[in-house]
Amino acid sequence: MTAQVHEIVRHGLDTTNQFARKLRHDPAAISGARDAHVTLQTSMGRARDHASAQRANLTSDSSGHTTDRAITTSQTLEKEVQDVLDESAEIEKAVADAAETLHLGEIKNDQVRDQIIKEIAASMKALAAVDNIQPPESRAAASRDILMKLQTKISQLTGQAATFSEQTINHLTDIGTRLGGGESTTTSSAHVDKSFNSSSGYSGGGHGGGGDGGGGGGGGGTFTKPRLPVAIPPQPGTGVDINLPGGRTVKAPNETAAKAVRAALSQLGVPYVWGGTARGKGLDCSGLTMTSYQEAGLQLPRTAAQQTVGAEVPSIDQLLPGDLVVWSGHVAMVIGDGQMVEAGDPVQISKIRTTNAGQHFIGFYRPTG
Amino acid sequence: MVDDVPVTTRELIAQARARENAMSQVETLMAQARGVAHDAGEQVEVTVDARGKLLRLWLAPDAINLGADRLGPLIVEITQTAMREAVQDGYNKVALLLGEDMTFMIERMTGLPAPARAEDDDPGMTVEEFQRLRAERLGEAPAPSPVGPSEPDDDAYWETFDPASLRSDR
Amino acid sequence: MDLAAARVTEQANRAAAEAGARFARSGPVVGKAESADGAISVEVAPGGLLTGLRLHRSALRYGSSALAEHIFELAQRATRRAGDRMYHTLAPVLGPDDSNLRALGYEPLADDDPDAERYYER
Repeated sequence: MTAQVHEIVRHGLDTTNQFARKLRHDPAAISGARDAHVTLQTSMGRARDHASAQRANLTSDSSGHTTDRAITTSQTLEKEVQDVLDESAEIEKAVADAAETLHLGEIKNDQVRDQIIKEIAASMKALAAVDNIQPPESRAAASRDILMKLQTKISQLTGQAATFSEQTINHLTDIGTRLGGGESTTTSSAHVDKSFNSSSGYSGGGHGGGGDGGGGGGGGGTFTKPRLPVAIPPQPGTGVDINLPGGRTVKAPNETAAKAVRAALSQLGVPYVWGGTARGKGLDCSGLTMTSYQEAGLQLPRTAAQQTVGAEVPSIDQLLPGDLVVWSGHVAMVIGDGQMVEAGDPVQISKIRTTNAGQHFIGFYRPTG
Repeated sequence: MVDDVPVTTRELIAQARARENAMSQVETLMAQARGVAHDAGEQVEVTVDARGKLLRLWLAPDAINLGADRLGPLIVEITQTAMREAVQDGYNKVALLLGEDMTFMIERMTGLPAPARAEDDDPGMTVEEFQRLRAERLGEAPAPSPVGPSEPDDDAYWETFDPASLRSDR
Repeated sequence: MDLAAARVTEQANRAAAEAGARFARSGPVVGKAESADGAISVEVAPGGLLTGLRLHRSALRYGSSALAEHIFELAQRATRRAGDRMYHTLAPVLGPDDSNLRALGYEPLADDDPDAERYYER
C-alpha cells in the first residue's frame, strides 16, 4: 500500500509542485533587486545632499556670472538626482508589490496542496475500508470508483491552483506595465514576470536530448525524460517509400520504420480497447505502436511513457514517418504529410499535435534512430 | 540519466484546465458503462453496470425448462461474465481521458487486470534495455581507453582499424 | 512529500484495521432479499453483483417473464440493503464526510423504506 500511496501523492501533487517551484524561484531575484535599489537610493541620496550643500556654499560665497551658472547647474543636478530618487522609490514599491504578489500566490498554492493531500488521505482510508468486500470483482469495482473520484477531485483542485497562478502572473504583468516599459524593464517586477513564466523556472533545468549517452532512465515521468542521442536526419534522397491513404507518397527513414507505419495504418478503424494488444480486434494507444513495431521486427516497451526510445527528434519539423509522439499518458505514430496515426477510438489518422487532454508532452522519438 | 522537460507556467495552467475538463466526464461515463452476456443456448441474457448491478434480466420462454437447480447458478454465472464486459467497457470509455499512466495505476491498485489485457501483455522491455540493444545493433564498442602508440606502428594501426568507426549516420 | 505520504499511509492503515475489526465481527457484507413465498432468494455483493440465486421449483410456475421480473426486483432490493449495510459499517470508520460512501452507491435506508430489512430478516 505504501508504494502506491507514494505514487498517488507524487502524481497528485505534480502540477502544484511545479507551480510552487516557479513561485519560489523569484524571491531571490526580488530581494536582490530590492537591495540594489536601496543601495542606489542611499548613494543618490548622498549625491543630492552633497550637491545641495555645494549650492549652499556657492550661494553664500556668491559673486558674478560664473557662480550663477554654477548655482543653476547645481540646481539642475539636484533636480535630476531627485527625479531618479522618485523613480527609484516607485521602482522599489513595484518590487515590494511583486514580492507580495508572489508570496500570496505561494500561500494559495500551498493551501491547494494541503487540500489535495486531505482528499488523498480520505480516499486511501476508503480504499482500505473496502478491502473487506467479497468477491474480488466487487472489491475491485469499489476501489476503481474511489480512485477515479479522487483523480477527478484532484484535477478540480489543480485547476483552482492554475487559476491562482494565472492571477499571480497577470498581477505581475500589471505591475510591470504600470512602471511603463523602456528603461523600467530593467526593474525586478518585469524580470520577475518574465522568469515566473519562463521555461527554466526551476534550477536543474536541462536541455532536451543532447549528448551521446546510450543509457536511458526508467522511462518518462511527467516532467522528466531520458537522455537519448539526437536523431540525425537521413541523407537527402534516401529512405523507403510509403503510400499513404489519400494518395500521397512519403519517405520513411528506413525499412523498419516503413513497415511499422504500414502495420499501424492497417489497423485503421480498430476499436479502442484499454489494455488491448489484439490486432484487428482491439488496441490501446501504446498497444498500437508496440504491436506495429513488433510487426516490423523491433520490440518497444509496453507503455506510452516508456516508448521514449531510440533517438530523440529535436523538433517538429524534423519528424519522419515512424517517429513517435509521446505524452505522459498517450503515444501516436507519425505517418508523414504532417499527420499521425493513434488509438483513438477507433484507431484513426489526425494532424500532428503536442497537446492531449491536458497531459504533459514529453517529446518526439525515433525508435529506429 | 534524465533531463527535465521544460514547460512554462502558462503551459502548465493550460494543461491543468484541459485535464480538469477531460476528468469532468469520467464519473458520468463510468456510470454509463454496460456489459451484456448470454449463455450458449441463448436462453439467458444479463445486462449489468460496472459495479455488477443487475440492469436487465431476460429469460427465454423455455428457460424454465432448465429446472430450478440449474437456472439459478446459470444466471449467476452469466452475470459474472457480463460484469467483466461492463468493467472493460468502463475502462474503454475513460482511459483516453484519464491517460494511460493514470488508468494503469488505477487498474493495478484494484488488484484485478483489465479483462482485455492479455496474459503475455508486457514483454518486459525497458528504455534502458532498448538503448542497450540499440548500442549493440549499431556496433558501438564501449568507450575506448585513450591509446596513442608512442611510436608510429602502421601495421598495428591498420590491423586494429575498424571501418565502422567511420560511420557518421545512425 | 514523503512526510505527507507517510501520514496518509498511517491514516489508511488505521482505517484498515478498524474496518477489518468491524467486518470480522459481522463477516463480509452481503445484501439479501427473498420473495414473500420464499420461492426466490437472492444474494448480492456490495455494488450489486449477483452472488447467489436460489430458486424453488414453485418459482418456475411464474413463467420466464414474470420470473425474470421478480428476480430483477429482488436484486434491486438486495443491492440497496447491501449499500445500507456498507454505509453503517464504514461510516464510523471514515468519519463525518460520507461523500465517498455515497459515491460508491452505499446509502442508508430509512427504517420505513419498503426495501429496508424487517427486523426478523437480519
